[in-house]
Amino acid sequence: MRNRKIIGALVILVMAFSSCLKLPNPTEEKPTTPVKFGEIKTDPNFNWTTTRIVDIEVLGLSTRTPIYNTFKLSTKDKASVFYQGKHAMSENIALKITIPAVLDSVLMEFGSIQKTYSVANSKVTIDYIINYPEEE
Amino acid sequence: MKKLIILFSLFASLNLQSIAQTLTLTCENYASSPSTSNNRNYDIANCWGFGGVSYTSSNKIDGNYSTQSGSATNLNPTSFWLKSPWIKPGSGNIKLKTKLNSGNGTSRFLRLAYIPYDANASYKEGTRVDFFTHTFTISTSVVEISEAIPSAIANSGQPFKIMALMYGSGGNSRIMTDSWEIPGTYWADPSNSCYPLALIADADSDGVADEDDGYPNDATKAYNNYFPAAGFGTLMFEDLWPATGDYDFNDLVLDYRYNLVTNANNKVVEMDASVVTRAIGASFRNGFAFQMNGIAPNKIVSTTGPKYHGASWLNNAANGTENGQTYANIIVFDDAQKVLPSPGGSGTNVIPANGRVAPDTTNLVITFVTTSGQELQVSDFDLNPYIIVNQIRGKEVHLPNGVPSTLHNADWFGTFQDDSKPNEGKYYKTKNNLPWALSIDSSIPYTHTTNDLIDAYLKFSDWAQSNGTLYTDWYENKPGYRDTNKLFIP
Repeated sequence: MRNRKIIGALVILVMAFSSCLKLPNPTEEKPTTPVKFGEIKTDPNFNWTTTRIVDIEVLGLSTRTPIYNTFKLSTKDKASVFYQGKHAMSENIALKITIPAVLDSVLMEFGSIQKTYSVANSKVTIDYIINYPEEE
Repeated sequence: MKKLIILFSLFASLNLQSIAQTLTLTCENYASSPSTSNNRNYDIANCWGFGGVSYTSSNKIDGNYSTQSGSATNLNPTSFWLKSPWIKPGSGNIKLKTKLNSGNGTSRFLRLAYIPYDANASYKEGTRVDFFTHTFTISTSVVEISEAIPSAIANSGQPFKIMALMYGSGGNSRIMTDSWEIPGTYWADPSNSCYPLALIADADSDGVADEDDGYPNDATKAYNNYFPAAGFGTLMFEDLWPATGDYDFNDLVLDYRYNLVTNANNKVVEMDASVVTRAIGASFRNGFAFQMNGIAPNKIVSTTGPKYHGASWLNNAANGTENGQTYANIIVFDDAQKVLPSPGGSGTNVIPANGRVAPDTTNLVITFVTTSGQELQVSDFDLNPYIIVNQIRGKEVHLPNGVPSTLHNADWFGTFQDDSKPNEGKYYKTKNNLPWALSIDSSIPYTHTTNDLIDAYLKFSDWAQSNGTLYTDWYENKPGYRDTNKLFIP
């Protein structure tokens, strides 16, 4: 008799706690963390590289006399140079550079001219004009 | 007599040309300049200088814009100024148009001066010498000034700047100028802080300053263009393709760095490549090669440095490229097991207990055609590395979507777990887009044999599943990024 009571109480307890369990919702997407490489799911266009290609367009500046210098693209600290070549300042240049995907900006140098550009997009337009605000 | 006339004509023509050079300032954009809403910045880029002087389209004198000083209510001559770039003055008259923007004020002046070059002075500008002052009638009438270049500087062959100083008292009218003409030869370098043009130190006379020239004493070479830009990158292969393997990505592990050497015309003359064979986690005798996508084999003159051990399938042309290929293919080595022999046991440098073999470096030097019109540029290079599996020449494993060479046997595609679809540009991926090879633009440790890559690089799967948007730095040695127990770190 006593056992019956205990079993009955256990059944009630189990039922009570079971009702607190959240039932799986089939519409709720739960991100799965793969435990093996073979379980990884990616977009078909994912290219698995740690680099990316950036199109560079340089708008030349008309000069009164031909000005040649070294055009250089590098990291801001100049430790990694992605491209360097001799170009006329008036030359429009089209380049592709491959940079680490983690990089968010590049430094352009043309002699003494230095400008930093965001590479958040895959295309960057560069010119040699420094923006000075107009004076009143 | 005829020769004398020709000589005289030539001299006269040259002389006329030098006389005809005139520096102008119109405040308008040059047609070919980049689009900019601020024309003054364009002229500043061309080395004009302005102190308290802006460009305005209100009350303009000529065209769409004129210069305009602030309200000239200070008798200090340097209140507002405009400086030309460095020029070598010719002879003749400096011309400009000027006016006040409104008819008020007690006095207004525009003074002309020249500034000599002084190597020791700040901005290289010596002491200003004033040579002309115009006193305005207080009205808005346009005045055309024409003043001879001082004889002290005309045709002197030395660089000078011409300066206009604008000042006055009372009222609030501003001084405007436009249509400047200064006889002389432009002698400033916008790419060198607008200092006077100077002869650069250039030992090999290739037009590239020695300080920028990677080869200052070799006129055939000028620049180094490295990839990766700093340090080495790592290539890791699985070699059971077209079947999937254990994803430890250490069946062949290589570090690489190459340098595209260009000349002063930005043409690639040489490629120097270093391939460091680090580990072999397989029993297959794999070769390693790369294809230069889009570059015909005849663009290469010579190749030195590959390591060959008599593979039966080796078939190279005299320039070191593989015969029978559409694009240039360089076999770097034909058998990794010969390049990096095992110290005993299974594999090389993948099981710490088996001892370690020093990585082997293969240095390649590839030279390219320099015939005019045939040369290559840096942008032409798209290197496509691959392994040749277990001495089967037609069995290549490339990076995901790496286009196979002509000698690859396409019958392998679509077998086992491979889901390559050449007509869709999909190569060397499974149905779930998983690769057989990885390239990292940094030298990183690889896994002990049979350790799944994602057990060693803890952010890799987050990176991959986010399609490369999260943890783009997954390979870096940051806290929580690696399980070093799973990595072969000497």
